[in-house]
Amino acid sequence: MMRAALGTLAVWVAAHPVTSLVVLFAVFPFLVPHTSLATQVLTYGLFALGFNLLYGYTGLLSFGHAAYFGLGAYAAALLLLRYGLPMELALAAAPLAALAGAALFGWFCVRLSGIYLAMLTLAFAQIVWSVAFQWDELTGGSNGLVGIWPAPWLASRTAYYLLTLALCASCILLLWKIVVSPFGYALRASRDSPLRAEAVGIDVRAQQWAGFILAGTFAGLSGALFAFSKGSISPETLSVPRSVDALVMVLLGGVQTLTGPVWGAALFIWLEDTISREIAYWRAALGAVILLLVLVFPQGIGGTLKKWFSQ
Amino acid sequence: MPDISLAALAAQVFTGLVLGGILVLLAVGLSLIFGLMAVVNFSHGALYMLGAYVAFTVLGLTKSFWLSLILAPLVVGTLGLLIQRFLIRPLYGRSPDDPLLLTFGLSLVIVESVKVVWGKVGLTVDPPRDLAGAVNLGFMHFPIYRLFVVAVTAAVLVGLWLFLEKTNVGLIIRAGTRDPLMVRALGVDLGRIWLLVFGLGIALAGLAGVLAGPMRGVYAEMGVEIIIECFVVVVVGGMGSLAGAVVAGLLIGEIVSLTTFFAPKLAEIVVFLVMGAVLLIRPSGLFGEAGLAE
Amino acid sequence: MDRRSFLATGAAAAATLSFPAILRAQSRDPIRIGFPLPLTGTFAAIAADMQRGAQLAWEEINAKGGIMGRKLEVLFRDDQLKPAVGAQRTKELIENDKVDFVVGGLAAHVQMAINEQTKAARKLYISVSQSDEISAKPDTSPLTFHEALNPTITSRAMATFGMQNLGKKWWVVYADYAWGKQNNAVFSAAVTKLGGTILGSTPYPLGKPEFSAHLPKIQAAKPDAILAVTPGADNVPFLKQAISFGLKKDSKIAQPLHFLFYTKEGGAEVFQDIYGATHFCHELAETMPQARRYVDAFVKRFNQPPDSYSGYGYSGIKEIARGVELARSTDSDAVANALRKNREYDHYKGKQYWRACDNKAFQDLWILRVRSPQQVKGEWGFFDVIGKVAANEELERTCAEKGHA
Repeated sequence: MMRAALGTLAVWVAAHPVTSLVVLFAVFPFLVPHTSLATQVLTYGLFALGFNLLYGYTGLLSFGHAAYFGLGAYAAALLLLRYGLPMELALAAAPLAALAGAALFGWFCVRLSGIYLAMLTLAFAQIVWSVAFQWDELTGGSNGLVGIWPAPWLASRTAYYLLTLALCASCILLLWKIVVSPFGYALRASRDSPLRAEAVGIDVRAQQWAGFILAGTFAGLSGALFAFSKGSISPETLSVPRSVDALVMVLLGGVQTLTGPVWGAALFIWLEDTISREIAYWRAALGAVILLLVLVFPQGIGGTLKKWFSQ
Repeated sequence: MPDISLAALAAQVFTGLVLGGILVLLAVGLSLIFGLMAVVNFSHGALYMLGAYVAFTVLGLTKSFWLSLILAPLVVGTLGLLIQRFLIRPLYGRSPDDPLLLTFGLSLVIVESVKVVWGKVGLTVDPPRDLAGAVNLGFMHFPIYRLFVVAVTAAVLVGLWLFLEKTNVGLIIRAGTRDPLMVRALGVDLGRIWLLVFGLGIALAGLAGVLAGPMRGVYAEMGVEIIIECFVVVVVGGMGSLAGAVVAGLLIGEIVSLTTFFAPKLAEIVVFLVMGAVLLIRPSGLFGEAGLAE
Repeated sequence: MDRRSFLATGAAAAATLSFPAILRAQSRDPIRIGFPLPLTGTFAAIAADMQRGAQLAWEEINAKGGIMGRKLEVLFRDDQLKPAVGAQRTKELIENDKVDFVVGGLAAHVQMAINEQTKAARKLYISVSQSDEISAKPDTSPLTFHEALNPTITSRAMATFGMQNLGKKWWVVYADYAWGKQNNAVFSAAVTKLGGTILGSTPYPLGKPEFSAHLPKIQAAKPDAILAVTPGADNVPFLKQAISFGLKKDSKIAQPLHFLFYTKEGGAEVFQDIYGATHFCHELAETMPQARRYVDAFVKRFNQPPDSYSGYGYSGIKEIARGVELARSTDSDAVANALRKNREYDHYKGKQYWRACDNKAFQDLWILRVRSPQQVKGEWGFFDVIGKVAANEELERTCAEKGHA
């Protein structure tokens, strides 16, 4: 009987991913005393969602997605600190910097494919990183920028968490709308069979460019949220390991699912945060988890759960 | 002062060539693996690092640098055989991203395991007495050990070329790179060739690690940094092209050296600028073939 | 694993996450100090040493009955040398572990991130490693104290010594990040002011110890002396490579800081005749009773002598204790005021004092030269103490220069 009840619940969850996510995360901070952790999960979840749009739905592997995360974070910080914008406006405007960056770099990147594309995305990310690291006057150099605090009405942990939740949920909804729209289908067609897509009249390159830009914008928003949640940012938000984190989160959560990246982010953050404090070699555990997933569970958590519960 | 400047410039150019040595060894191994099996081996850097650590232990046990130079690559290469047979082979036929992700996970495991076995803090390895010291080249003093590294790299490349051009196995490898379907249609068991090539590529990485240890120190993160440079070299040269790996390795080493001379602040990103420029003109690298890396 | 056990495990995991909350409510009420530091990464060895010093202080304090009769607890956290992680750990220490004070941070950028968190939470923070910004506006605060030396003091002291004893023409190799750049800037300015010349200065990426591209240029320039701002794990490779290119034959080599750990790792043959400054070395025990007491206690506890940064950890913890006792309170503002009112202290190596305007600690520093392999005493006696630079506010920027009134 327990099994049947759980099964029904699971089917409902699978059918209503966004609602169940919102419900779970709405009560989450009251279950555990780690609100800042929950905020981190959602922030990185959003970052991973953007990456999944690029990797899962557009079919482009990128090693430099952190560049857009960082562009959003630095833009938010600079708009607040140098231009005196109120935090709310800074938060709203920051993703535009990421959008611009994604548009510029993406235009070049979609002209390549496979590992060459991936390496070019890495190259752009490293260049952005180097600028952030060395341009002391603008970006604070290796010290980064401090004093990036949210407005007073959002300053409490719970309030900021709810803001993050609201934005994340909206983005998931938006992403869902994109994926089931004609554009989304064209995107997936370009991913699955570029030749056939071209034959049908889809401009594959333009589709990919659009996907790149959207993915970058999501990343930029998550970067801005990150900056305000921490109070300070530094060049390591742009580093290659950060880009690879996105890939790992998506892999953990499931490439073919909509909300999978958020679950992947949750698992990843939990591993990184909780485990890393107890076990000195937690990255070995992460590596082992990845090995396991690739060899045994190629669909990740989300995909595997979906497969189980749909039986 | 023009005399000094010219000598200094010559010294810098020469240094640049030598800088490419380790990169070439790594890039050749990576390109070999990719060319034949279309596997992007992310654990290449970790295995390079492992080579340095194994050499440290062999050196400690036998007190012989020469033994460590021979044994460490063999040990690491054998590990490479095991990795191919039990971790990569099962992924055959699946998405091409799977070996990439698997080797990434593997690299994490290797790096952390090394920290467990050898400790978190870096180790020091000294070059053998006969190779320590510098030789006067006229325009500069140059460390003998670095010249030795170039000599070893050159010898290995010659050996590899002979192997690929003059032996039957080499013929199969070259054919398998160009047209795996045809080779299999001719009845050749590519499985064992793949095993061999992977092990060979990994052994080259291990050798690079052994050689790098006395120069740069032995520490767990050494693979992480060099793997990116290594990928840049392979991409610039063209995935799957050995000539490309050699040319690109030397080129990148030279560019880094000269940039350090003229504009040190750019030295870290110049490799990416070069890669970006090359890819925009030739999207498959200098010697690469289109369609190989999809 | 089947569905049911998977979900059961998930529920158990969620329950475990809330466990600490229960535990905390039941314990007695010790005084807690949060201590973030980079236990992993390129400065791990230095951090381990700093942790040992703090550990010793903690144990000594509790052995004497604690602070105001309450036990002391020091919570160490790995900040992985990353500002974001440092910020996160500090936040957790303050919000979840409810620490009363924070001591820690190694490397300037992480200190700044930690300081942002402690400022926001209005907790006293004693920073225990080099940074020029931490005690200046706009980053400092009445609750930010800086125990360690900084690039300005270190490089000015080194420049004075170097110009007098090592040569007039210098070349600087420096790690391209805040600390390296600051050392380069201050050192170059000081040398020029004293009538010397900087023939050139080359930046390199921190943590990437491949220096061969830099060395031919230096070889050609033939400086009297080289200042190697090559911290942490870059120290040994730089010296080895410089020696292999013959630089040590033609030039003297100095570095802003000497560390016992790296000197031992590289060995006396590599490090001999390298000059460096430090705020503490165990050889001071030969001439100073406080140092003797500290070194003996340290060796007894850890079976090895203390390196310099252990002293920062030790002193940082002890200063918190002293402040709390003076203020008879764990309120951060009260403790900060008490420390400012009673500026002088001496925990392990001689008199130190807080400057009122910027909460900066002033202390003596020493110039060291590494002994040759034949002269090394025992397993750890690498340093010859060849000069002392007494605590001197002229070495540091003035209060006005740092933005204070």
